[in-house]
Parts: sequence; structure tokens; C-alpha cells
Amino acid sequence: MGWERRGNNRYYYRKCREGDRVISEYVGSGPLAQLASTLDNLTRQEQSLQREQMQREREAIRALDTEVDDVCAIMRVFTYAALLVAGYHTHRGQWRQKRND
Amino acid sequence: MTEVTALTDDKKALAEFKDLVAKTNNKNPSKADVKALRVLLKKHRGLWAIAGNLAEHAALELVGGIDMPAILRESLVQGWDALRDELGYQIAPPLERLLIEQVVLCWLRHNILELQYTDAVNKGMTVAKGDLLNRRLAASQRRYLRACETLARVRKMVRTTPALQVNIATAGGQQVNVASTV
Repeated sequence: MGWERRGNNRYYYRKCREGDRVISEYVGSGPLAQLASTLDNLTRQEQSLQREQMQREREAIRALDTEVDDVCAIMRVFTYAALLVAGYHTHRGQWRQKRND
Repeated sequence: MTEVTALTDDKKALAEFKDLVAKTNNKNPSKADVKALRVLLKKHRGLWAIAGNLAEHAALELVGGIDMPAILRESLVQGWDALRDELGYQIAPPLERLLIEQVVLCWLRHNILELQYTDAVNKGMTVAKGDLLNRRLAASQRRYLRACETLARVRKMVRTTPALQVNIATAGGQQVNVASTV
């Protein structure tokens, strides 16, 4: 990736995005271009590892949050059940007690 | 723990609970629905204790699931106990106990996230991670405030209407009416 053949020589180009377009940035040929290519590969690998790590952390945080949310949802149902049985109901988000007229 | 698993795994019973709650939650609920809800509450003996266990189980998983120094872990557990006592858990009626458990669980989640955030700031973090932690922190704070608000609201209702009682089925099958003493 990034290496292009022109005649008998290979040249290294760095690809980068500018808005909708992908721009080819000429780096060079020979050992220096090889070094730049290796460094770019390492950077890409590092970024990929960081993305995976981030994904794992995101999933771990979400899993714990989901567990807390699930417990809260169950408690909410039980609380509602207890209050409803006691004669309350909600009206536009407010708990009200039924009047005994 | 088997009771906890039984209830949470029993999706049908929970769905039935939710359905009845939705049906009963209006100004003039049908007597049959209220009765059915009462029967369901009776059927699930020790519901309050089970829900409490559920919260405790989740809290233990929260504390155990994070990589942190033992001293921090211990201080969180101590803080969790202290907050529960400060909120009057020991003398609270069952419904309030349930809500106290919820407040404590949300407090614990929020504190763990704050610790993670501080740790990430000290170690240096990416913009994406900072953004993720910020959003989760804001959500956990909202959840915690909502839990506190519910507890306060229920306590206020209990004060103004002493008639609020919760029927608890004891282990021996005897029904106990617990009037709030708060």
C-alpha cells in the first residue's frame, strides 16, 4: 500500500483524505521511502490497537451501565407496583393519590 | 442468590408485572387489575429482599469488576455501607429500603466512573476516551439524582399519607402490613 511503480522504479506515496478527496502525497523512493513506509505501517498498527482497546473499554463501561440500568428498571417496576396497590397513580409524571369522594 | 436469579430470569413474571403496572397506572384502575397486581406482589414472596439482593449483587460486581487498588475498593465498600446507614436503611420500611439500595447502587456507579476518569486524566487519555467517560459520567449523575429524587418523593408521600402501607409476605406465609414510620 502506498507504493507505486513508475517505469522501472517504485515510489512511496502517502495517502490522506481532504474532505471528499483522497490526496497522494509524494514521499520518495529508496531506503528513506522504505523507512517512511515502515513507520507509517507501525503508526497504523498502533492506531488499530488503540481503537480495539477503546472498543473493549467502551463495551466494559456499557456492560456495567446496562447492569445498573436493568436493576434500576426492575426496582422502578416494584416501586410502581407498591404505590399503585396503595392507591396512587401518576399524572403527567407526578404521583397522585385517588380521592375517596 | 437462587431467588434473585429466578426472578430476573423469569422474564415472563417481570413482563406480567410491567403489564399490570401499566394497566393500573391511571386515575381509575379496574379493581380486577389492582387485585391482580396485589396477588402478584403476594406471589413473589420476599420481593423487597430479592430486589435488595439484586442491587447488592450488582454493586459487588461493580466493585469487583474494576481494576483498582485494594484500599480504594475497601473505601468504596465502606462508603457504600455508610451512605446506606445515613439514609436510614436500618429503620426504613421495605419500599424505602428498596429505593435506598437503588440510590446506593447509583452512587457507587458514579463514584467508580469518577475514579476511572481521574485515573485516565492522570495517565493521559485520548479525546475519544475523554468524551466517552464524560458522557457516561453525566449519565450516571443523572441516574443518581433521579434515584435520590424518587426516594425523597416517596418519603414525602409517606409523610403526607400515613395510610401508605406495603404488604409483605413473610417466609411463614403470614401477611404483615408495614405502615411507614418515617
